[in-house]
Amino acid sequence: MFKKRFFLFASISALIFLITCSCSKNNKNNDRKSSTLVFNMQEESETIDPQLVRGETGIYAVSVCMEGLTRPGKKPGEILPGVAKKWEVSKDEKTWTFYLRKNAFWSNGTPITAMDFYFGWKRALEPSTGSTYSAFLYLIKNAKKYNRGKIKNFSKVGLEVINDYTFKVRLDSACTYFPQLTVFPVTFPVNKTFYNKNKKKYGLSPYHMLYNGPWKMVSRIPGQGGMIKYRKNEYYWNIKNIKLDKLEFEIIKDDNTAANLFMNNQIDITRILPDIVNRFKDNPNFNDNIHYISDGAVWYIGFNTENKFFKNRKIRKAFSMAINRKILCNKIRKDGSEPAYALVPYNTIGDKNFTFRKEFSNKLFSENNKKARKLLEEGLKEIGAKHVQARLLLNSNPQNTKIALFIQEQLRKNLEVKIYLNQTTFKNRLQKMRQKNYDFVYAGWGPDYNDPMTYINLFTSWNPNNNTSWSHEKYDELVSLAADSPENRTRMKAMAEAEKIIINEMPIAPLFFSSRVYLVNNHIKDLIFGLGGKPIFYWAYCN
Amino acid sequence: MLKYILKRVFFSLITLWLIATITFVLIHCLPGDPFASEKAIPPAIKAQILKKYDLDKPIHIQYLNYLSQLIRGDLGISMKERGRSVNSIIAVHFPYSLDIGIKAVIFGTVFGIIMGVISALNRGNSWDTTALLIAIFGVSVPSFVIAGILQFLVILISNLTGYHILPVAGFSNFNSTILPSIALGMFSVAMITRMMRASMIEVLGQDYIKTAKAKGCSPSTIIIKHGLRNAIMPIVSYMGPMIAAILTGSFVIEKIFAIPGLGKYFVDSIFNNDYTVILGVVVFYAAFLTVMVLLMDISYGFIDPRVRVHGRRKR
Repeated sequence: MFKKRFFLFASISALIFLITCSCSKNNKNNDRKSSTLVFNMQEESETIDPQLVRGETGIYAVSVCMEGLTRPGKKPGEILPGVAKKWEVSKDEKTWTFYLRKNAFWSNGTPITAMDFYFGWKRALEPSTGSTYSAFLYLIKNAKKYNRGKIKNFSKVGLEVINDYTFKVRLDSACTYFPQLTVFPVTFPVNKTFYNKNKKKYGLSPYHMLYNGPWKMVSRIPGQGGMIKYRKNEYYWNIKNIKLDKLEFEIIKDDNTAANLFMNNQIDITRILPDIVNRFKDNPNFNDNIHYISDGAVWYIGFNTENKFFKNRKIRKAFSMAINRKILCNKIRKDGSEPAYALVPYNTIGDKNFTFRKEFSNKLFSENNKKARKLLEEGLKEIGAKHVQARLLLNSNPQNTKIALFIQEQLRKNLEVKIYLNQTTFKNRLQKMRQKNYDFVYAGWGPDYNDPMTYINLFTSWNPNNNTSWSHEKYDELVSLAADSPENRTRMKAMAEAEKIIINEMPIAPLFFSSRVYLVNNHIKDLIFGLGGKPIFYWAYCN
Repeated sequence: MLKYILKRVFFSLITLWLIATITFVLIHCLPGDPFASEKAIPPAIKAQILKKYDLDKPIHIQYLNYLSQLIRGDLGISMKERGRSVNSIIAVHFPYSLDIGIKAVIFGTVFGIIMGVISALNRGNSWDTTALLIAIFGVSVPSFVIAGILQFLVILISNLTGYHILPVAGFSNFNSTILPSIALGMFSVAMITRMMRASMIEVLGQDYIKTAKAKGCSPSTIIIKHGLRNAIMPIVSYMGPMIAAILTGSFVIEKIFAIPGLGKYFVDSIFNNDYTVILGVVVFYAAFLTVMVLLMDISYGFIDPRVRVHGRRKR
């Protein structure tokens, strides 16, 4: 009796719990509208203020809901009109005139004028704004000086509002790819009246922002099935051709969770690490969802040329030649990355219709263990040392660690050199690189715009991001020539020459051009992957 | 009682001050720089940013500024999410951690107590064995494995039946909190089952239970009024640390289930060198912990008649 009653009590309370669990059962997945797309952004965007945003995800989140003078097209390097319906350039490629369309409006219905661009760019260059991407505008006449506080008068900067719909930009030097730069958030317009009203909160919440892109952000509150929500912006000039009504960006960092959600049909697009690709490859329901997308980054070993061993060119070359890049890409990365035997990745545009790599040779050097050993021997003799003692710096995450271990093993096997790993956090790696407090480092570089210059420029003696301490007079000369030349053919040739010098001197040893693995739901059509391997939803629709 | 509480509050404040100070010293020893990014920032811009966050001042001034801010309840502005205050980060994200935390605590205690009582009443038979097996499973399998198994089961069921019972991850409604709460509360279920079983067996063997039975009390009265109330004491003392552990330890579960809780900030801020967020969240959690422990100590007095506090505690 006693026991029976107790069981009755226990089972009833258990039942009540289960019922409350299942009562609120609703078909959450079924009420997802066909014109809504759920994308896993993975990281949170730190702000949506176009001039202050600096992380990859933040830049992306802003680019969805705002538009600059131009916007990215479908093909790599292609640029389409944005707020500007057309533009003209002077013969010397130094003066750019943008004609703004009259049907471009902010999300509150006020027209977008040249003044909004002037104000936005001024804000980016204002030293007190603290915009980390202000260097993007340094091509503009006097912009660098103003940004660094050397001149106080903004009217000296090469920006001019001719009338409400004409915006003129004067550059210090020729720049054939300038319309590619105006795709970037730091160049987005800011409405002065609105900004002055919301100064303190601008960009911090969706309601304290004005949008001019195809979608506007309506919520940025965690929970409720999506961290960031966008709705169609009815004031957008090309709204007729935008097919997706709603975009929802989730922030799911864990790759396994993202994969699980994808399988459960809760998200449409997510990036995953190659380690879990096999789960989908072997599954007939999912194997056509896998997409390998090049993200335009080049990964390399950077040598600190102040280091006692790596100041020797032959040792640097020996290290580079002893690492088998094909195995690295096929067995370690497994994500469609391609071996790099040059600095500039495949999708980078060259002269006219060719990519840079198609126009110039693909393979500027090759691996050769015998040659590598010989070079190492000679190099060691030159500096009078018996063996190399060096530590490879990297920021540790499962992928990087695997690659570093592979490099360690290759050098041991092919060169009989024992190296040590120095694993640290990302921020600390950057700090050590800047302080030149490292021997050699595993690092990567992604493009800001689609032109070889974004990579070639990196190793000039004046570039603050050149952490190798390497400098080369001829190289600097060629890069300056390419930077100043209005003629595309001359530029490309000069950059190809410069690239050859890099490969010959090997201050960095390129390893691979990286790719990303995406899972994309099959009902999404016309999804384009843009610069940096990020999806562009402009033309996308759900079937 | 009041004197006792005041004394405890005073010591809690000292603890908090010590935690804030030690954390302050430690984060300034961290290698790296909160504003470092792959692209070098021009020195002039960097100086402006440092000035904005008072990082250009000598360290002792920074410390004093920080303390005076802390006393006013202002935790500063995040360095990564520029412009966003730490107070608002905590206000927005902590409720999510609290939500699944509370559900995990309720799940853990309710099921733990029920299973503990069942196995104590059925000592030696199959009910007891089942309960103990679940308890051993809960103690020895880490929560993230349980989380993975739960997700896998949900996908398996929805693939087989074509019907989505529960969301795999994300935070939208009550349904989406079920799996994380179970994964998070499983360890507590196991611990409480074992403790409850032991203490219930001890209590049921006491003379006053026999007396109650002889008096003709109904079995449910005996179990609930005489048995449970006495046997629950060790559980109450375990609740304090358990609640703290669940709320501060939910990081992994939050990550696996993509719940926008505070745990992410607790861990990520360290990688980002986000000084203000590290300090803010650490101090917040520390305050939360001390308050929890204090509340548990006080609640003893109400539950156990033997621990009536007169300025002195008994364990």
